[in-house]
Amino acid sequence: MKEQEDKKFQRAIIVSAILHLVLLGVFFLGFPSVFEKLPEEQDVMTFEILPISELSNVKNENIVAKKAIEPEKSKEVKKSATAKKQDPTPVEPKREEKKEAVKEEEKPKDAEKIPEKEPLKKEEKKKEPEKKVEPKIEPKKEPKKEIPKPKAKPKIAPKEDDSIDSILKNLEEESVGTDSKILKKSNAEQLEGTKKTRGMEYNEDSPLSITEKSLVKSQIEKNWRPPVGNQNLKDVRVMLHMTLETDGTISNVTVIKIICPPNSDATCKLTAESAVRAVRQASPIENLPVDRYDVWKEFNLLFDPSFMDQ
Amino acid sequence: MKRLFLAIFLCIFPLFSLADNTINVTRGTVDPIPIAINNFRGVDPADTKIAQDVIAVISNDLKGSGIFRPISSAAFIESKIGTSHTPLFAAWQQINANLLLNGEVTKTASGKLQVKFILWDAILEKQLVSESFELSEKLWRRVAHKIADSVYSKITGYDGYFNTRIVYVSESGPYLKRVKRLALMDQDGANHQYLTNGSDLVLTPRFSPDGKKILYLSYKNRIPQVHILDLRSGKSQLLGHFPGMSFAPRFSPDGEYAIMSIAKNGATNIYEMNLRNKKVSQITEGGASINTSPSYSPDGKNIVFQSDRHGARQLFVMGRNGSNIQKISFGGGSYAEPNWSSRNFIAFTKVSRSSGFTIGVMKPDFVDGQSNERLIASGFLVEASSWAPNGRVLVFTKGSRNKGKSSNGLNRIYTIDFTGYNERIIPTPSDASDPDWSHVID
Repeated sequence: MKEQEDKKFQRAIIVSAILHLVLLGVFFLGFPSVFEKLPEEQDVMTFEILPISELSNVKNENIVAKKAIEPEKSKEVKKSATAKKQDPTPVEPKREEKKEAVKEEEKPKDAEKIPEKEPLKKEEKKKEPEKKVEPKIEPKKEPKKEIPKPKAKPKIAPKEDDSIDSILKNLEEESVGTDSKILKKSNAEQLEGTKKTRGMEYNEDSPLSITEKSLVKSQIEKNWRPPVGNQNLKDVRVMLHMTLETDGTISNVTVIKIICPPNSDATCKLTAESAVRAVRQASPIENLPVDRYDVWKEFNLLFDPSFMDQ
Repeated sequence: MKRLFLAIFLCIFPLFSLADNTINVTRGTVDPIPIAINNFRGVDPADTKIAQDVIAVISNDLKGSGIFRPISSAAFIESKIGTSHTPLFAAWQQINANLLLNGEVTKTASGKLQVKFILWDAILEKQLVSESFELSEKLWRRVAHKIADSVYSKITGYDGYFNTRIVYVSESGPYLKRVKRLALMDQDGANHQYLTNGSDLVLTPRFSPDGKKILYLSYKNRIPQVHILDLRSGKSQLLGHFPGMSFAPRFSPDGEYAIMSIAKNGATNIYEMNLRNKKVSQITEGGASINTSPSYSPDGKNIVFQSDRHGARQLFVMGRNGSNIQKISFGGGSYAEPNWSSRNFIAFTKVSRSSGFTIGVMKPDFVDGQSNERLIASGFLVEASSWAPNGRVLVFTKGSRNKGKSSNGLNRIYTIDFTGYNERIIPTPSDASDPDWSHVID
């Protein structure tokens, strides 16, 4: 009697175990995606391009040229334009529209999946995104765009290309450039590449790009020796105005403002001198894109020695 | 109307974008500044030798400060020397010289040595300093130090400290039977001389503000007592007659008073003596506690000292008359040997279990029991720090671990920038400890 029960029990356990295994198997086979890394992250990259290029203010010329070609596009975009903007500084309206347009095209599909955290990742990855974007965007876009605007496609395709193998591509075709590309390119190439599509009216007021800022910054910081150890040094600020020539030579430096804590005139004077010396020594500033001379021909430098906190 | 608004907008808009075009420079370098110290021209060819000696001393001073990096003269392109021409700045920029020092040496009719120099800013292409010094030829090192001082103060904003001397305790002999003598030298180790013969144990020499007298502790009468030594006459005498030990002496900033500790009846308190009428007044009162190592604030109104009144040794500040005692050190471990600088920092020695012996710097003003100490040097037995007159550089003793019973290399004196950079040994003929830095010599 007991043996029989034991046997029954054993069988039941075996059956149960088998069923469990089957269930597990179904689970593994049926939901492979649970164990895989979701590809969604790539979508993040599409956003990453935006803030960089927006701040960099590099692509704007093309938009001017294209504006005429795609009026419907900008209209459509205007509605959703403000929703996702991360950078509050309006570099210039037209450019943003264009970018939103790009976003728009890629977004609908992924919109629901994209989690909120994306903006955070923005800073971490600046270079990778461009590479990753390419495979993703192309398949998505082609089927989608056919109907509303056939024109948009050829325009965006070259962009993806040049963000990857920027140097190899035929420069005339390039309408949109990215930051990293400009870094790599020599001034001459740069000039050649963008000359044709350049819209005159925008460059005047557009701010320096991140790339240009960091170029100048690094070259000046290398030469700046603040008067270490002087009283109240960390509270001193010196603002210089500088004028550059096309080859990056600094033609004029003037101290336009000194913020000076009380009783530290000597420190302020020394700091200002050290700043002017640093600028003079850094001349000529190298690798600034010649075609954007209008933008960087004059700018201000704020010297902040607080890192020397003693 | 619309047009007007548009016009206004167009006027204002570029202003905003200008503000946008500001780059923040938030990092710099602390590398030493490259300076080209050109050969000084000897007006009489016979002076060429002394001109070379002068620039060697200048170069050594500036390099030792850690702020400058003299460029090797082999790299110089311009061959013109002297002070009567405007340098070819491009040639100096080429070798990356930020500063250029040109000079000229002459002997005046009265037989004195006259050195004229110009410090050029090779980058801004302008003259920074032009001065001339005249001293007897024997004092040529002092002339060189003065020139280095000018360069240093023009560039750093701090007074120079090269034209100064250091008094210290020179040690020799076996570990258990050290002979200690007072010794005096220039801040760079030159002009070294002994002040005592080593028959008595001596400690803690301290300069008077004018650099002409030295207070020190001597065991001459078998018990430690404070003596005063006149450098000109070379004579020393006991300072006051106290029943017990007197030690830890120091001059007041005006040189009129001496402050010291006197141990009496199991308590050690701080006393101040008027050096003119020898009148003594007691400043601290404390049951059985030890109050010692007093040091005046630069204005002479306050005194910092160490005391064990709350248990472990900590630092306190009080008024000149002993009023308003406030604790200023709050860290673990014990604090000793405070020394108030001309720039209102207090250097001290701190001994703690976690970091051993360290030299630290703090501001005497503190907020809510939070001291702002910063430890700048550490090592086996670092102690006895003293400020250079400019309040930027410290000199201190650093010991090395006892190598058996070796008689040399036990401790030496070092200088360090109060930022903690640029620790350097001062060359001394034998072991050295307890340094004190003089004021600038006139």
